[in-house]
Amino acid sequence: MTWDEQTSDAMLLRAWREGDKTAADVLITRLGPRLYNFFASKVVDGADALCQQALADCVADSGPLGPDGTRHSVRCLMFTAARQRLLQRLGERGSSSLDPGERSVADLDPRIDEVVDGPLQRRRLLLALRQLPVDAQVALELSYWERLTTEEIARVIERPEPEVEAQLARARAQLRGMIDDEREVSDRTIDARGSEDERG
Amino acid sequence: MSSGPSLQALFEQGRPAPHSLEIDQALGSLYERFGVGPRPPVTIGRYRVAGRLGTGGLGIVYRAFDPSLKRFVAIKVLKGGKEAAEHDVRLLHEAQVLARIRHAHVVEVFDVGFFEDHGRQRFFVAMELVEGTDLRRWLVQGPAFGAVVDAFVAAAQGLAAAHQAGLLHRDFKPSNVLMGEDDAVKVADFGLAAVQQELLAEIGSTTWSIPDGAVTLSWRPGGTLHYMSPEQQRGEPLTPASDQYSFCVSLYEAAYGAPLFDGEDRASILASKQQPPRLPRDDRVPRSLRHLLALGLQPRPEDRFESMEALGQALAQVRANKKRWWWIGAAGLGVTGLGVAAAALGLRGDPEVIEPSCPTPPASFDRGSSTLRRTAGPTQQPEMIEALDAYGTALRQRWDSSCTLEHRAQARVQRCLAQCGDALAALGDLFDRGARDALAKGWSLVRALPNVHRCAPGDEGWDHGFVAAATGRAKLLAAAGKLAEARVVLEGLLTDPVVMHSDRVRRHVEIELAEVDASDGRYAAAQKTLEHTYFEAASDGEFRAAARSSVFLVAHGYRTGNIQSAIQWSRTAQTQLGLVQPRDYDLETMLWHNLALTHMVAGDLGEALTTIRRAVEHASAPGVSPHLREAALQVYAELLLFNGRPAEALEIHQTHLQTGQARPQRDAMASVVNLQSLGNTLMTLHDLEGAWAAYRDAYALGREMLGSTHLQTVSACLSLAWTQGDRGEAEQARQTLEPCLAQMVQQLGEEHPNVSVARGIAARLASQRGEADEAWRLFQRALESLRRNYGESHYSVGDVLHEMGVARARAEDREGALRHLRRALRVREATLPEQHVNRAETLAALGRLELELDDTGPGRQHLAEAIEIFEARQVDPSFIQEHRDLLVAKEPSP
Repeated sequence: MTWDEQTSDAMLLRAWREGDKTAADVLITRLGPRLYNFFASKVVDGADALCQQALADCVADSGPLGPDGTRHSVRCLMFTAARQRLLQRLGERGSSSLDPGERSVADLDPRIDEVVDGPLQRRRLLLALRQLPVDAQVALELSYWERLTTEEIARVIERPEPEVEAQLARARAQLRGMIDDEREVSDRTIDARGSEDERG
Repeated sequence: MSSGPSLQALFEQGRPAPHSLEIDQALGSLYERFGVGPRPPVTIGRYRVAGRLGTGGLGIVYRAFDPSLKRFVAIKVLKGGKEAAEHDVRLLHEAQVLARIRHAHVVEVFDVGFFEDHGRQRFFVAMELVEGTDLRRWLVQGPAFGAVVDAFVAAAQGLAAAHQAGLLHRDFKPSNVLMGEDDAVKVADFGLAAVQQELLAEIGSTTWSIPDGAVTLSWRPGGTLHYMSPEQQRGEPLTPASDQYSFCVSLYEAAYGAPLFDGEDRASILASKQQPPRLPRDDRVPRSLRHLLALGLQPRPEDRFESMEALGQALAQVRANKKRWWWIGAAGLGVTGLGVAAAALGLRGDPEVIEPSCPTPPASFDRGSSTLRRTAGPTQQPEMIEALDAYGTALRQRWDSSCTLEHRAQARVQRCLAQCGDALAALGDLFDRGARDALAKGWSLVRALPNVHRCAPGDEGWDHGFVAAATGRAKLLAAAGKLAEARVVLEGLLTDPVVMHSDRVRRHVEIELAEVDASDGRYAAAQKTLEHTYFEAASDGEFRAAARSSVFLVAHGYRTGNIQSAIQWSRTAQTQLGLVQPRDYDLETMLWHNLALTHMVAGDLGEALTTIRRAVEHASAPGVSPHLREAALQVYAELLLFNGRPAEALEIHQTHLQTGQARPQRDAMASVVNLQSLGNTLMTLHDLEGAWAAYRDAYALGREMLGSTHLQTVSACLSLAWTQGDRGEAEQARQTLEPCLAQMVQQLGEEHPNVSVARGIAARLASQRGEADEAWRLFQRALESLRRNYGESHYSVGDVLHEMGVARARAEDREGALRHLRRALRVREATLPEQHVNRAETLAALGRLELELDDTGPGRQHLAEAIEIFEARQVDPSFIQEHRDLLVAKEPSP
C-alpha cells in the first residue's frame, strides 16, 4: 500500500502499528517537527530522546484513533504522550513535587533560559511562556500553534473541557500581562538574558 | 487594553520553524529509531554531523566529521542567524580572527563561517574536538589543590597567548575550559560571545548598533553575569584586564569552593564588584593566593596585574610556594613558609621552583570539615562532622608518614589515599548539596568510607588497597544514589593496569559493577556479569569470588521476583561459602537475609522466619558489620510479626533495635523503617495508642529526613491514617491519606501490590466514615489487583477479604459479612501458620457475627479458639477480655 500526503494521520498510525515502515516514514516526516518543537521549548537538552519515547508510546498504544479535532486524533494522542514524557523528565530534575498546574518550566529548570533563540519579539514570547505553569504553556501552544480543539487539549492535559476553557482564558491574560511588563524593561536586559549565568 | 500586538499576532510571529538543523537531526534519529531507511547525514558546511555534544549558553555543539581532512571536529552553531540573502563579509572577516591563535592551552579553531540552515544563514565554528570534561565539572569532583592550581596556570597561559595575538576572550568561566582525557587543559570559545551578541543584535531590533569602522571584537557586551568584570557589566570597552577579572572570579570559586557573588540581581552584583573584593581567611587558601585574587579582582582595570602573563606567573609561584611550604613542614623544620607569600606577588623575585620530595596532600582531605558546617541541618550533624574530620586527619597522617617511603611505595600508598580522599570529598559534596538519599543514610555512608588502613606498604597490600579504596568509593556513591558516578569510578578501574593484570581483582570490580547495574534497573546486564564471574571464579578455584557472585545472584533473584533462581543460587552459594577460609560471616549473613526475603515474597512465611533466624545467628559472629546485623534483626522482627507473633517482634524492637529511642549513629532511614515496623507490631497487639505514636514519629522523621515523597515516608503516612481512622478521627485520617496515596500511585503505578494495600486502608477509612459504596469499590479494586499480582492463595488476599467482611458487617450486611469472613478464613488458614494472630482476628470477627445470629452454632467455638490464640500471642489484655465477656454473655441457658 502506498501512503502519501493525503492519507490521514490515523490511517498512517494504524498502518505503522501493524508494521508498515513507509507509513512510519510519512508520519515521522509530518509530525516529527511539531513534536520536536513541543519539547524544544521546554527542555534544555534531550529533546531527541523525548521525541523517540513519545512516538514509541503512540505506536505501542492500542486505543481508538479518530479524525482531527476529536479526542481520539493522532495529534491529541501524540501530545498526550509528549506531555507525560515531559512531566516525567521535569519530575526527575525537580526536587519538590511537580504540579503541572502550578509549576512552570522556568521554575523546574532555570537553565532553560539559555536556549532562547531568534528575533526579539519571539524570544520575548518564549521567555514569557516558560514562566507560565507547564499545563498553561502546553495549552496555549497547542491552541495557537497546533490548532488543537478544546476537546483535544482537555485530553492532553487531563482536565475537563470547561476547566480548560477557563485555564486558557487565565493563561492568555497572564501572558498578556507578562509581555506588557516585559516591554517596559529595556531591550538590553532581555538581550543579555540569552547568555546569562548558567547556574541560574 | 494592551497597546501591543494581539496574542494571535505574537504567536504567529513566534511560531517555531518547521525546519532547522536541530529538527533535521531529531528526525534523523527518529527514522533510525523506528527502522525507517537511512537518510543522508545532516551537514554543516562540508562537515557531516555525527551527534550532539551538548547545549551551552552560546548554542549547540555537535560532533562532526570533516570528510576532506578525515577527522572528527567539534562544531559550535551559534544561536541566532541572518536572513539568507545577507552575506556578512565583515562579520566573517572579524570571526576569522578567532582562528589565529595556536597554543597548547587554547582550543584550536579550524574554520569559521556561515552555512545555510533552511533559509537562514547561521554561524558555525569548527574546532578541535577535546574528549573529556570541562573545568567546572572537573572541579565538582574535588581534585587536589595542586592539580586545581596547575589547571588554572595552564588556562592563564592560554589566555595570555590570545592577548598577545590581540584577542580577548570576553566570556571566561570554568565551563569554557576543556579538560581532555589526556589531562590537556584548553581554553575554548574565544570571542564567541561577541559574535553571538552581534548575530542576535542584528536580527532582533536591540539597542546595540555597530559603529562604523569597528573591526575588532573588543568592545561589545556579552558574557556571563557572575564572571563578567564590572566594566563589562557596565557596557564599557574591554581590555585584557577584563579577562583577568573573569579568570580570578573562577579561581576564587575553585579555591574557596563557593561562588564569589550570590543571587541574580544585576544591580547588587555590580555594586559588589565595584568594591574591593572580600577574601575571607580560609585554611585551604594560602595567603599568597589571597593576595593574587585581591589584585586580580580590583574594581578598576588599571589596578589589576599588568598582564595576563604576569598573573599566570604569580599563580605558578603560588603553586611552587605551596609545594615548598608543605615540604618544609613535612621535613619537620616547623617553618610555616607564609613569609614567602609576598614574594609570590613580586614576580621579579627568584623564579626557581624548589622540587618537593613529597607531593602536597590533596585538598579533598579537608573536605569533611568544610561541608556540613555550612548547611543548616538535620540532627546528628556535629557528630558526622567530627567523624569526617577524623577521617581526613587519618588520611593526612598516613600521607605524611608515607613521605619517608621509597618513591614507588610512596606513590602507591598515596594513590590509595587519594582515592579515600575522593570518597571523602564525594560524601562531603553530597551532604553539602543536601542530597536526600545521602542524608537518609548518613551514618552508613560515613561508615562506608574506604578503610584507610588498607593503604599500607605491605607485601602486596598497596595494589589491593588502592582497588579496595576505589571500589569503596564507588559503593559509597551507589549507596547514596549516585549510580552514574559510581559506574564511572568502577569502569575507570577496569582499565587500570593494577586491575587488568589480576583476574582476582578484576572479578572483584566486576561484581561491584554488576551491583550498580542492578541498582540502576539493568537487571539483565547485572545477571550476565554475575553468572559469568561465578563460572569463571569457580573454575579457577577462587571460592570467595564464586561465593560472592552467587550470593549476589540470590539477591538478584529476590529483586527481580525470580524465586526459583534465587533458591537455586542459594544452594550454590552455600557450597561455595563452605569452601571459603576463613569464613566470611558478612557474606553468609547476606545470603540468609536475601533468601529469607525471597521466601517472604513467595508467601512462605514459616520458611522465611527460619531462614532469617540463621541470618541473625551469622550476624552475631564477631566482626560482622553492625549495619548488616541491624538489618537482619529488623527483618526478623518483621517476619515474627508476619508469622502472627507480635509480642516476640516487640521484644526484638525493645531489646535489640531500641526502636523509638534516640540512638547515636543510626541512619534516619533505619529509624523510620524501625518505627514503622514497631507501629505495625503494636497495631497487631491492639495497642492503638502506641501504634499511632510510632507511626506519627515515623512520618514526622521521614518528612524531615527523607522528604515527603520518599516511599518510606509515604508508607508511614498511610499507616498513620489507618490509626487515625481507628481512633475515630475519620476526617483527619482522610486528609492524611489522600495526598500520600496519590504520591504512592504516582511512584509505583496503579497495579503495584503496595498500592493495593494502601487502597485497602482507604477502603477501611471510607467504611468507618459510613461510605459503604465507596469502601466497597476500593476493596474490590485492591482485591482484584492483588489477585492479579499474587494469585488467590497469598496472605495479602486474606487480609483484604477480612477487611471486606468487617466492612460488610459495619454496613449491616450480615450475609455479605459472613461470606467474606469465611473466605478470608479459608485463605488465611491456607497461607498462615495455625497460631497466627491474623487467623484469630478472622475467627473472632466470624464468631461474633455467628453468635449474633445463633447462640448455639459454630460461633462459640470460633470465638473460643480466637481467644486462645490471642492469649498465646499476648495481645492487649483488655481486647481479649472484651471477647471473653461476649462469650459469657452469650452463654446458652441450660
